[in-house]
Amino acid sequence: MTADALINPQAGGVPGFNPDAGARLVSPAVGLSETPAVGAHPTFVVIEPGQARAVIGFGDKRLRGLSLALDGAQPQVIADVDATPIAGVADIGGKGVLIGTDAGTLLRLDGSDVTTLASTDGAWIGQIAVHTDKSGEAGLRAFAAGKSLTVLDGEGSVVLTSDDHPSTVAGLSFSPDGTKIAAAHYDGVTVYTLTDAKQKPVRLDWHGSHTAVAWSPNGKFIVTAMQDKEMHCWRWKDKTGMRMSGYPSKIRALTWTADGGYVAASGADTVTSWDCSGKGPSGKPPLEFGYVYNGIVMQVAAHPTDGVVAGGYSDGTVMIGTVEQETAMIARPSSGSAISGLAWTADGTTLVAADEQGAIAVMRMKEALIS
Amino acid sequence: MEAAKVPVTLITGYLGAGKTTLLNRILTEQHGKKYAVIVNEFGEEGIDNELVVDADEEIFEMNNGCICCTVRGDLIRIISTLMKRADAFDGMIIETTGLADPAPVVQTFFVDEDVQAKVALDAVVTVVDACHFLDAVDEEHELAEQVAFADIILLNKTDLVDADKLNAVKAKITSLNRMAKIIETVNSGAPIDEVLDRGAFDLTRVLEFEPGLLDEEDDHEHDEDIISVSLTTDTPIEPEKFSNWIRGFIMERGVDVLRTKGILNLSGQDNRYVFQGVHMVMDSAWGAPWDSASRSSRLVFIGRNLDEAELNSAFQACTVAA
Repeated sequence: MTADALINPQAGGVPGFNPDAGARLVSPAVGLSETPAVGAHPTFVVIEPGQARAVIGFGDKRLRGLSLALDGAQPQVIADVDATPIAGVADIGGKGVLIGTDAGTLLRLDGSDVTTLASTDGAWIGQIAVHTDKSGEAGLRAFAAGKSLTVLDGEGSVVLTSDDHPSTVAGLSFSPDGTKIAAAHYDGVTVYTLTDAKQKPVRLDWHGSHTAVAWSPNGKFIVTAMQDKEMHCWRWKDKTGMRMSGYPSKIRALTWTADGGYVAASGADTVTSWDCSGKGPSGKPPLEFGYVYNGIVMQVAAHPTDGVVAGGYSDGTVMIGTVEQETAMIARPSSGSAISGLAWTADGTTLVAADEQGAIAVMRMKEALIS
Repeated sequence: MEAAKVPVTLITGYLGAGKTTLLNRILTEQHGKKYAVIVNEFGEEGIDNELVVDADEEIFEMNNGCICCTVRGDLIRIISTLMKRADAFDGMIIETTGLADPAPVVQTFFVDEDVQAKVALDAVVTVVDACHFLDAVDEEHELAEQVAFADIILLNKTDLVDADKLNAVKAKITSLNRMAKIIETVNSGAPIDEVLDRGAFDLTRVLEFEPGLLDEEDDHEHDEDIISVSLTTDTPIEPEKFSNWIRGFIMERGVDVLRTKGILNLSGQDNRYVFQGVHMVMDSAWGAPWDSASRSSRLVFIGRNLDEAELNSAFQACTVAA
């Protein structure tokens, strides 16, 4: 775990990449189609079930949808909302989209209908999370506004509320079984048990501002991104903390590979993935792929099934790489505008990226990503 | 495609000094321009603006080895989010609470990448109540810090004091901060162009600054008082000597040093070397070329426990003549 390991420009060979010539060739394994910039700033990208449509929230108070048919379709306005949609995730069972706004409303998009599920006194709903249970039909919704966290069941009944946090909640993540929720804030994470109201919350302490949190798919680790250009990892079983540092930039995004073996992060000039097998990442340098000259990884999204991660960069490049082989291919060349949203379809055949100017790239995988 | 950064004006001042009056004057007189206003508490006086964001003052320490580096997490989040909105803002105005320490706000603009990429701190404007300042400044250390951090001081309510008291207030302000421009006002009625678009933190705009002169000997009573120290020399500065000294000094004393500003005549260089600092966060750049005649280096420190004689001899030891 050193800074040196992170800034090695040789890490992860990129086919066709020549920083001097500026040549950025899209891999022949990817079919890329791209829409012209909308001119508004995307705030999230969510892909709907059936994978027919990507839903993108924009800073101009609009939700736009884009067909993933690669048929030259342009983004269409689905709905005008009264506020800026600042957070969005797929809703329970992947049906519909759950949206938090800067007017303090929690919205649900279903088709082209928008309904309000909850609202605050005006405090921005900047964090939302959804858990779907095994039936695929029921689940939990969580949202945070300022210091306050609320968890609702599928019918809208309150399961938990708490404002016992030292600062605004900056990240939310359900445990994979949905029995717990982790809330990130200054100086650590608070973990609530949702199935037993009498159980006291567990506070995981680490000094500094934690700005995102992600529970590993196997339930063993809780990882946070920090304002201090590092990540922190707690082993849930014994609450042992581990520090992952050496990043040149603050870390904006975290993602776990599907099997929970690696947590990948933005914040360096490569996509960095930490080996969380066994006892955790301590003592092991991160694996890296996808070096981009003069670029920083802004967004990461793990493939839904394979050991593959997509990275979106500050210059608009999108790379897809294999974590363990440390190889990468260019899926979208630089546009000069930072990637602000990145999402895979559930079957892993299509990746959607949005840049800050509002251009949307749809990338279809033509062949298996890991042979 | 890089757009110009949105200027941010920070308004500080003690309770009742006239911050909100100034804010509303700006919003009224800059009619047609679009501002985002960020406040920490809604006062009795309403704010006449479409977008007013109520922020919680969330201060945290950075783990970056700089022990005094505190930033405002709420501002990072709010500004990053506001910059995603489609409304193009002409500016942002932050009004702090009466007892706020300006340092975490100012440092936020030098520490966070997302904030730095989109906005720039234009100036710290501190509103001072001429009536109550002298009584309050010894009681509330935040008041002295707000003056110490200021680029512009609105000396307000001047109609409520006589000439002697006004002079005493001005003398106290100057002893705290020799860099700031003092504008005397009634009812916060400053000319808006002297408050907005000052570029006070924009090194490319620093050509010259005249530290204010003290009428009388600085009569600070104990070392805990904030004072401002102004140093000058006409002999060129030896870059290596200066660099070693200033780095060491700021590393050791950054907690006490609130603001630093300098224009240096470096040996063998045709351009001014300008720099500024807030506690341990330092920023420097090459400025405009010197005119032919006078090439005077100037350095101002504002802080606590500063010994002017000691600082002066250390500074003079950085010249090529030393």
